[in-house]
Amino acid sequence: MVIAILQNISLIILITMVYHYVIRDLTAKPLTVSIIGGLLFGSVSILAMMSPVRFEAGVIYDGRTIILAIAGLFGGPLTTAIAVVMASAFRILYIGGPGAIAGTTTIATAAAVGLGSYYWRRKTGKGLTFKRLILIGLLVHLAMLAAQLMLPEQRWKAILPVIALPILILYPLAFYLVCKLFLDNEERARDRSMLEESEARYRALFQNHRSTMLLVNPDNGIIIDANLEAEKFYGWPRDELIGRPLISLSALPPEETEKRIKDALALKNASFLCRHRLASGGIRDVDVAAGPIDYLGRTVLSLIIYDATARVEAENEVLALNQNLERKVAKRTQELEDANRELESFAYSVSHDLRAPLRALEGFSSLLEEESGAALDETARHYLDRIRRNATKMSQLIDDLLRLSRIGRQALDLVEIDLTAMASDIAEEIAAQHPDRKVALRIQEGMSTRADKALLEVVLVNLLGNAWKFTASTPEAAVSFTSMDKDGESIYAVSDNGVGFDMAYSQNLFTPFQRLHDEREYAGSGIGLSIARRIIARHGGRIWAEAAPGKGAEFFFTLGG
Amino acid sequence: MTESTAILLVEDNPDDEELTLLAFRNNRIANPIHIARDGAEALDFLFRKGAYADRDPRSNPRLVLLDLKLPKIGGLEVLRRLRAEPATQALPVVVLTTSNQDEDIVNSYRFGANSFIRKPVEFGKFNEAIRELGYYWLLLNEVPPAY
Repeated sequence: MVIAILQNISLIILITMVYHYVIRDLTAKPLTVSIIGGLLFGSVSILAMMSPVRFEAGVIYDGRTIILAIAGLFGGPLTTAIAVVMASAFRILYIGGPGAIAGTTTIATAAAVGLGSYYWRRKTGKGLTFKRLILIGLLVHLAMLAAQLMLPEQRWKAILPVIALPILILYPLAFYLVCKLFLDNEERARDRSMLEESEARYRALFQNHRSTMLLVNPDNGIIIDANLEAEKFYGWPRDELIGRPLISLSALPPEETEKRIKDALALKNASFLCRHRLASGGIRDVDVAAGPIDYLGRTVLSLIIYDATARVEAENEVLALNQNLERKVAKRTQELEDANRELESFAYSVSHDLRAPLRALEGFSSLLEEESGAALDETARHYLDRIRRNATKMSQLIDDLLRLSRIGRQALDLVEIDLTAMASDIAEEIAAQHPDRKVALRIQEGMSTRADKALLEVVLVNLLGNAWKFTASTPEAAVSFTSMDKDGESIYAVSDNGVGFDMAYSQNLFTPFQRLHDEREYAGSGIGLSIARRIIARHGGRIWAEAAPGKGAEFFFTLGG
Repeated sequence: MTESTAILLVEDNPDDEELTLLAFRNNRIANPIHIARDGAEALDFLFRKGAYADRDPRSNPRLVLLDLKLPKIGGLEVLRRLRAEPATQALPVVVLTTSNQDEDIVNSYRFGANSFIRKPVEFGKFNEAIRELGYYWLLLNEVPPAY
């Protein structure tokens, strides 16, 4: 008998597999699935009832309980109803016999337990574990055994002892096994739909991506997929792009393209500039981001292509402009160097040739005075003196001019300078040259800067020297050197309370050989401030003055960055 | 063999030449003075070549007064060449020039000048310079044995 029950169970398992195949592709239509499911479960129940364990005519035991419970649990109300109607009709009308009522009750209870479990599962969302399935199986078959009490003439007394144990052991197990099949199937279906969705998503992503994309077989360099943007960019339909060798798109030499594919696969050069051909025959500069994609154990080369033509053109333009600029700068530099050299040789000539006649003028006047002075009258000697003085003065002017021109040409040697110390030393020296003068000097403590030491010294000698010079007639002469910060810039000031000057003439202040004061009263060649301005300008700074006649003068300067 | 006391004055400007000679006379420096009017002549004189091929080696100068800006061959080049020759390697050379350009001073010493004197514009000062120059180089200074 056990063998017979096992055969019955095997049949059920076999048939449920057929069921899966039949309804697998119909998941999109729930009503159809329910109806076909109901018909199938009904048919299988009938088949089960046709190969039962038979006690006598009309008293049979088979796997219908399992099938109907499963119909309830997995098929839902409509499926169950159809299956119940079909199975009951077969049981009553075709088989009949004394077990008809008990058998039909069995059908109903199994379906009810299954359907109850169906609703419980939907409501709680809980998983169907081994324990729960066995419990449902036991419930179904306890109900089945209970239904045997409905057999006429208390036949159950003879039957139950024989069937109770095998049914309570084997049927719940079989129920569990078949349920497991259904559960696996459910899971597979779920996986499959997720996979399909994922596939659709990524396909859409690839196809509709705004970037031009190609997939290439790395072994032979053949394009295996191309997206819509690629169609648009290259101008070939997708099916013409697919199957085309990648090299046929590249306007670079084939070996170069192959090397790039190899580099991209080795992740060596994931992004590079390339030139690609279009269907129209045009050639575009493209940025290619390439790299291997591994999936399911194989590798394809993915290429994302950006049109870089405009950028490359712009870059080339910039490059050309730069080269042009460099050429121009080189030319200007050459011109400047030539001019500088010319200036230098000019200065050299001035230094030599312009001074020689002065020496002759001075020398021979001097000799004339010495040797024939006695024969000359006072006026003639005065004239000679004027000639000699002017020769000497011109020599001084030449020296000053050369100094001025040299400052513009020599390179700056920037070092940290203690301005306070430098100004103090200079002031001390100036004071020593004028021991008769009494000047109140104030130099701010802690001033320092970065500049060319020798040149800055020239500036301070000039400014402090002027301050001394133009306070000569001031009763309580005062000179100061201070600094202040304005807008992040240090402004240095040399102030005096001397004769000052009229600001109306201040534009001449820094012009070579322009003097604001009488030469006989205040000595000097009139070049000191020009030199100072040139030095300050070389440092990227500014120099200016504020003054009023009789109220002193204040010279300000900055030293640039 | 008597030691030579001659001076070679290398000077192209006739005014300067005259003033220099006057300054020598003023200071009673009576050493024989030979004048070369360009660099080439100076070298010919020193190396006894060309027009000076027959010059008596006993008239070799014991002092050269050298201007820098000279026709044909410049003063610095003259200096370089005479320092390259063993015969004139140790000969005292005083650069006496108008220039006070730094590079002239630096180059003169680099090429082996013994002294650098800028000719002052004032004749009085020039006179003084010549006096001190003569005193130092012709009296005080010991020269190596005659070449």
